[in-house]
Amino acid sequence: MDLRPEQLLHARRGDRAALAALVRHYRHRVMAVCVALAGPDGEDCAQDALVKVLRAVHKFDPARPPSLDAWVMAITRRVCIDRARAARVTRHADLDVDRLATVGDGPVPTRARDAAVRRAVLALPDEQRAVVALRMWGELAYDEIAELERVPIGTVRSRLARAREALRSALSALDPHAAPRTTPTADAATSNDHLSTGGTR
Amino acid sequence: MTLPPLDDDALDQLVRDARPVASDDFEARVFAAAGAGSRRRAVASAAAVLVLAAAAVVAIVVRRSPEPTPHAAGRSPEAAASPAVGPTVSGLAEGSAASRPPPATVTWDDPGRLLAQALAPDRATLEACFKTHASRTVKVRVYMPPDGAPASAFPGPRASVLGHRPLTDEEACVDRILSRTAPPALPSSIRAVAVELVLAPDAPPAPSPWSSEMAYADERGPAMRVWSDPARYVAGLLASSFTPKPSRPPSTALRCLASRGAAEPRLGPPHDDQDITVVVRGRKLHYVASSQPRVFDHCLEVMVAMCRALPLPPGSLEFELRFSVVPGGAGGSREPRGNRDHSVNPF
Repeated sequence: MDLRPEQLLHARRGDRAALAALVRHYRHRVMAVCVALAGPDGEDCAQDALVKVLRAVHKFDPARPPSLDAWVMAITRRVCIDRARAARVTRHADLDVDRLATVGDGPVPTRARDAAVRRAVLALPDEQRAVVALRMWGELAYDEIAELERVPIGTVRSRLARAREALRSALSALDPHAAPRTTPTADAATSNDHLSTGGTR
Repeated sequence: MTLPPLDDDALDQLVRDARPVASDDFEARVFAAAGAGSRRRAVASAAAVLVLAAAAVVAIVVRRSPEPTPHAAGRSPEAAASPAVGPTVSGLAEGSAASRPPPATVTWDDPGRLLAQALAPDRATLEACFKTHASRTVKVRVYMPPDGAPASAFPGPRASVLGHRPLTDEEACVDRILSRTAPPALPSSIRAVAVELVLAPDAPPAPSPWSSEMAYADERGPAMRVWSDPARYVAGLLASSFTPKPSRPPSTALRCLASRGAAEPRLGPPHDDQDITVVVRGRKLHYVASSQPRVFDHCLEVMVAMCRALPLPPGSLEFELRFSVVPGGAGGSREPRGNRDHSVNPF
């Protein structure tokens, strides 16, 4: 469901229904980015991020950059990174990716495949994972990601390319009928406690 | 069976399809959190808050008077004359005021009784606030700032944020009376206190406060002892060592305040211009950073958040405490370490 301009206007004025529409519009994206950036604290981070969005939306100026998408994702990213830093010992292996719902929530083979894909994403190095999450789950444009990450747009593209290679490699042997934890990517998920420590394994 | 080689578009689609989504009740929880947060801010803007419900007051009384003497359960004459208004546990028990020795001067050791005394002249007006529901028991959480008038914790009329409603006529009436009440000033180490008043004109008399105290002492002995002096206990927690991470040596929250190579500082009673503030909520501790960030703010935020306290006394929601920092070496010896060492007394 798209957020209509008049809904944003009403949301900025504090209209409850419009604010609810704003939350509904962004909840899945924010949740996905938070899971990628904050691991087990993802749901809490998503909640905190949207609370901050609700409290600050009256200050958002749609006539000036960044876009609303980028603005929401900037808040989300900041909240998640702060949380991950504060937690110090974030272990994404603690996150039960198999239990996370997805958009389709289809049959068992599909769910297993989705879980394997999520594990592969979470196993990416920090920089690549952030770009993948913001691009594919947060639905931001390259230039918006570059602005958020404070890197040139070419760097965003190269990180995304490297992430695709890593994902392709991790998913190439994926057996959609196998149990998720027996897939090759499970090893990556259990050894990815570098995610909050800046490792580039 | 393996997946066929993926081109970029197919791979992107695969990742998009695997996007985690929020649960069904996520939206409701966001709005609940937004409402709760704004309520907290509304209260904090009025005064920094120590929420101490009646059981905490009982704990203080017990600490001061370990023997269960009749005087320990003493009440002010005003309160004894009318049991309709009083704090829930520490409060104003039934019994003959004439059979008790004259009550000593009430201090902030018993905030409930202090408030009851301060409200005594307006008791009839307070009861009148609820005349239309005379048989109803109304609990009012009253916050008393370090100076100035108390305030109720009804949903704030000042808040225009999500989840708030304006005051009802009854609540506005109570709020009006509280705003013209003037209890004495708080001790410096406690930023604010909140107690629960029960307005119950037709309710049966409250149980004897001393029996409540004993029951509490039996059930929650260790917690009662530590929370009888919140400032001392929290200062001890911050000086206690813990291991923030398996790969790191034990440290203390107070190390954040030490200069490189200097001895660990201590916490003391607050001064005007160099205090730090810590909130205890549930079992968690939160450092309240100053409006102008200092070099140790982030470190303290992280380290204080790793501390865990014993459960608050029953009914208590928050303590907000402030301390001054005594530079390392000024006091001579270092504080003993260990999370279980609650005997540390930095004051």
